[in-house]
Amino acid sequence: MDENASGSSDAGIVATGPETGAHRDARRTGSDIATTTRAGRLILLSALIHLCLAAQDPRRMALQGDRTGVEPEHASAPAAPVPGDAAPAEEKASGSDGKARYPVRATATLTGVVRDSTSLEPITFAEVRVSLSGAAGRPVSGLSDRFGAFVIPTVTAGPVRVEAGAFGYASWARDFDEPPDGPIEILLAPAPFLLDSLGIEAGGRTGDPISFSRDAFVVDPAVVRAMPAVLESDVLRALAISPSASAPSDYVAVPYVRGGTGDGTPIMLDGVRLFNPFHLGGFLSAVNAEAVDHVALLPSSGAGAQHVGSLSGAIEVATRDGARDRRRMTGAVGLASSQLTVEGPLGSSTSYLVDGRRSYVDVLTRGLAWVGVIEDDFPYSFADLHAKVTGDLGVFRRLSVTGYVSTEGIGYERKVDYGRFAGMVSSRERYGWGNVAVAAHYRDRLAGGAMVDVTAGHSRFGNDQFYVQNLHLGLVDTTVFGHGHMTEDRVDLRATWHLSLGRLTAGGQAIRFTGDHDYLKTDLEDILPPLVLHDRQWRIGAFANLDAPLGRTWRTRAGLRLDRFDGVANTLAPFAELSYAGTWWKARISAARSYQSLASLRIEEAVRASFLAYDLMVPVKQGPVPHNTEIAAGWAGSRGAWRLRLDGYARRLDNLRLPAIPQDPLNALPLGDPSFHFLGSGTAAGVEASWSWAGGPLSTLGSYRWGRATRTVNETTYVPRFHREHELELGAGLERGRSMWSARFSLRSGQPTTPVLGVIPLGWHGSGESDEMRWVALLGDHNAARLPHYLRLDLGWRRRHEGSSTGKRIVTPFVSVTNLFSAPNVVADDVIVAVNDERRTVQVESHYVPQMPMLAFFGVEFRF
Amino acid sequence: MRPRGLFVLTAMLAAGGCDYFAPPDRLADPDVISIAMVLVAGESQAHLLVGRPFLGRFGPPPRVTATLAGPGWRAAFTRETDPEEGCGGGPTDWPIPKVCLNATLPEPIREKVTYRLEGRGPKGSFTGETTVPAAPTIQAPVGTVRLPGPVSQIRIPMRYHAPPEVGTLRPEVLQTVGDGTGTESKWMWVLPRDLDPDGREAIVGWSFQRNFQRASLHLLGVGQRYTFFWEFGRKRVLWPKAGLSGEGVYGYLDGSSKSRAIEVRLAN
Repeated sequence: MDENASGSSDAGIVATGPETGAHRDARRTGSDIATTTRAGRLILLSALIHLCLAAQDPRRMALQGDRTGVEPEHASAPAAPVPGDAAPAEEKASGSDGKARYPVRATATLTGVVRDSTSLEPITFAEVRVSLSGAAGRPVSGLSDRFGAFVIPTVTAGPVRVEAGAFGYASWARDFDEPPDGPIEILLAPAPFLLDSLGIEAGGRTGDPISFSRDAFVVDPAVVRAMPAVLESDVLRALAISPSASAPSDYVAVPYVRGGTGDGTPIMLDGVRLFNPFHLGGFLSAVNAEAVDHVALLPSSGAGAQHVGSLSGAIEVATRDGARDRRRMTGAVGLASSQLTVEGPLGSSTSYLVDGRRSYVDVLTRGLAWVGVIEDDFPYSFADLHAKVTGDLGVFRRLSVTGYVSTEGIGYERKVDYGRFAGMVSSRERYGWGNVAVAAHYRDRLAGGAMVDVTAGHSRFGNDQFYVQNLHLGLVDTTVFGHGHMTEDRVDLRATWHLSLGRLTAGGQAIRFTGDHDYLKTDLEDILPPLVLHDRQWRIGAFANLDAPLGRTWRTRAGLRLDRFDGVANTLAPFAELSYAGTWWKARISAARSYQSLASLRIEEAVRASFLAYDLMVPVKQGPVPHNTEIAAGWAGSRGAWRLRLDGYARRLDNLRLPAIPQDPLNALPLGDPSFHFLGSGTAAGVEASWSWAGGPLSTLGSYRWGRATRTVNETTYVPRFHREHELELGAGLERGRSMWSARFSLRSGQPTTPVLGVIPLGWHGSGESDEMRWVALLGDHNAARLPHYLRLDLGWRRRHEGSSTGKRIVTPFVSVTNLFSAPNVVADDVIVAVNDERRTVQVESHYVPQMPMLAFFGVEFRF
Repeated sequence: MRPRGLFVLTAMLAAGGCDYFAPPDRLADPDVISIAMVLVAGESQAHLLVGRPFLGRFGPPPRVTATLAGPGWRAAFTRETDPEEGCGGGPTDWPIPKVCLNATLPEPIREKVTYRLEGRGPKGSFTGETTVPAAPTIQAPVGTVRLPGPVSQIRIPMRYHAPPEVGTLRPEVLQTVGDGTGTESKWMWVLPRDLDPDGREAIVGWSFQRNFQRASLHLLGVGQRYTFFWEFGRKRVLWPKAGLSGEGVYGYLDGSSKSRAIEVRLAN
């Protein structure tokens, strides 16, 4: 997703009412061209192409907006120019020789930051509009980026009215005699009423996932809470309601995107990649919803995810800044774990946010074992801790540091007395894994007007196992030992210029990935084969893109990314997009290519991969580099309370590293040795529709996707196991008083499966006798059959209780039931052949491997 | 939540819980049939064992009609026998509904000759084809081996050769014991159970029995299709279309040949 959403960017799919894209709002002037020409000296080929296109008709005038947005109700907070920040001077229409070339009106650039008036947290995706006071012209508008910043470059001089609005906030407006020279800070007051949204959380930001960004499907915690919880509120699981995302199974929280697999869709936390950020094998994501500002699913590897450089888009998790008004505390007590978030100010301009979660299966079972209710405890636990400190050093200038730790594991310590012959044997076993990540982000606005973001990060996923015995003798005997880690160190630099020509972004990054896996002496034979892998690779990338209008209704984005995969290849990845904005709708077509040099050890065709989301990755050490080529077309529009988005896409994945098709998917390991992987390819195509509607207390969100996906390896083409041809997802929230009811309905076609054609009981052939009974289950062509369709209904209920004494204490119990009516959804089929050698019988039974049964979850959330 | 709401929710949960533990739909087609047939060179009978693996053990046996075509002749499987009493060797004790069909051939089965099976099962017609492998040979010893005297275990070192189309090479021993009241022959448990078809030498052994009179040892060479199934025993494998084609018909059609036998006797 754009880190620098701004003027003339995404306004076409925002907020309320009939609208056009801001494509048409921004107009180029001669001065803009001159300015851009100077800046463009540093930019790559795509920018030059746009300059040429723009130069064909440079006399268009600015500020002829045609937006008909909702009028602001009241000014909820003051806006004041902030001294000290660099502000671009009013630009004159002049060429490089200083002489006026075109008779244009003077324009200014309006900049600022939108914040919550209470907590002073920046507000993402707020819409800011500027119109000439008293004039009937078309306003220009822009969206705030993930740090609340906005830049609207073509504001005409003279009296102007500035309006701002965001989901969950009261509208704001103020008149100015002249556009403010410096940046302004807009404070929006939380609105305790329903704004065109999926759900309602008074004082929170609740938005329509398909309205925020043209590139992304965006969910925030309020949307997540407006869906029935599966064990806990899960921001990554909630993404599966996007038509671009497909849950590989009920047991895996992180979805796959448009026929790709998880390794092609990195999960980024504040700019640093998290490997395997989930618990319970993938059932629960390891990101605390309370700490998240929003999560954006980028389905394309083109415009929105150019800075990521992956095969199948990305999932970007943006955490909140801490509150700056007072200390706040929120938390939840659930079935599996409890979590607590504390945030507050550190001085006048710095905030902190710390959140943690800990499961208590181990504590609970230990207690039960101690009192004798159960025989043995279950020493499994997971925990995660996240902390963020943000310093606002100016309106735009800010520095934030994010730290993240998650751990998970199971450990046994035993002492067994084997009597006088063997004596006492003590042992200790531990299998643990987890993440550590640190990210620092600095933003500033340079004197030339460029917004600069610098991110440095380190991320590590570790995975260790050991088993030692004879501890009591002091002669430790290590019988099982394995360890491994994936580490990524990265530095990203990005600069964005908001020019009247358009928005120009250029950046570079350096990424070092290290994969160090040593599982030669482990007993993980059900997960991966014994292997030792040590690999490291540098990726040096540079990218640039220009987002520019082409006339009143057309707009284009184009960019180029250059990568050097150390020791493997240099690659060039372009993208281009052309869009058109009508009165209440907009459409676009795009094409893109992307590269990625990390390959997964996962064997997606193994049924166990549906239960275990964990992945180990290694760099591709020899070319060709895996790449994705895609074309897409989209349409989006809104009428009244309805909003609809349609997308079509076709992708081709080349040079993938794929394992051979397993002989027996049911018993194959979920992770394999990459030295046995082959060069393969894949395709995916589909049509997606997503829509939302809100009326009174009821709001709905839905999506449908038809798609096809294939993989080809060793000249065999098949439909991958995780793919479903049709997926329909519906979500609804209904507010009744203090209660909120939510429902989520899923109807999906069945996953491919390899059919069991027959079972051949097999005996001894020959004249002699044999007691041996054998059987062979005969499998059909790989994934030639389909499992039954998938049907699921989840229901949720939550009720908000406010403390009467202070009015600031809020307690919200919640209950949810997943798979109401227990639809017998399945993840695989199996034929079990039970052989009783003694009785010489063979019993053949066919059965399904079930998805999640009907389960009830409950818990309590609190806010102080 | 009001009590009424709680009641409705509880009822729904209970109803759902009952549904969940209901058995799922049957996956496998009960009309699928399994076929096992190994033609034995030198025999004038062909035996076709047919079963229904996805039907309960006490379900009705499959209704199958079939003919075997050889060089210039065709023979129908017209006679049914109890498969529990054997079906020309091959699989025994299938705990599924099954039938053994027998055909009398106009000539003995020959090595290196192709035979074709045609038939009709519950889901339609099926066909199969197999070429009987050439016989393995025991290169040494030849003729008669004489044991020096009673031993606890008979061990016969041998050199042998198996043609490439043989996948399973199985030593077989028919031992005759007897006294003044008569004789009795019995197939012995021989070790190793199978020899390496690509090998050249081996020692086969079996238990010496009291009143031993003689034994006859030969090698049985079975084709690759049977071998494939045998080696993948107790596993799930991709259907190799082992000589059979037709909807709902799975199994194997193969051939086997026996080597010339050597005789084992006690030295006088």
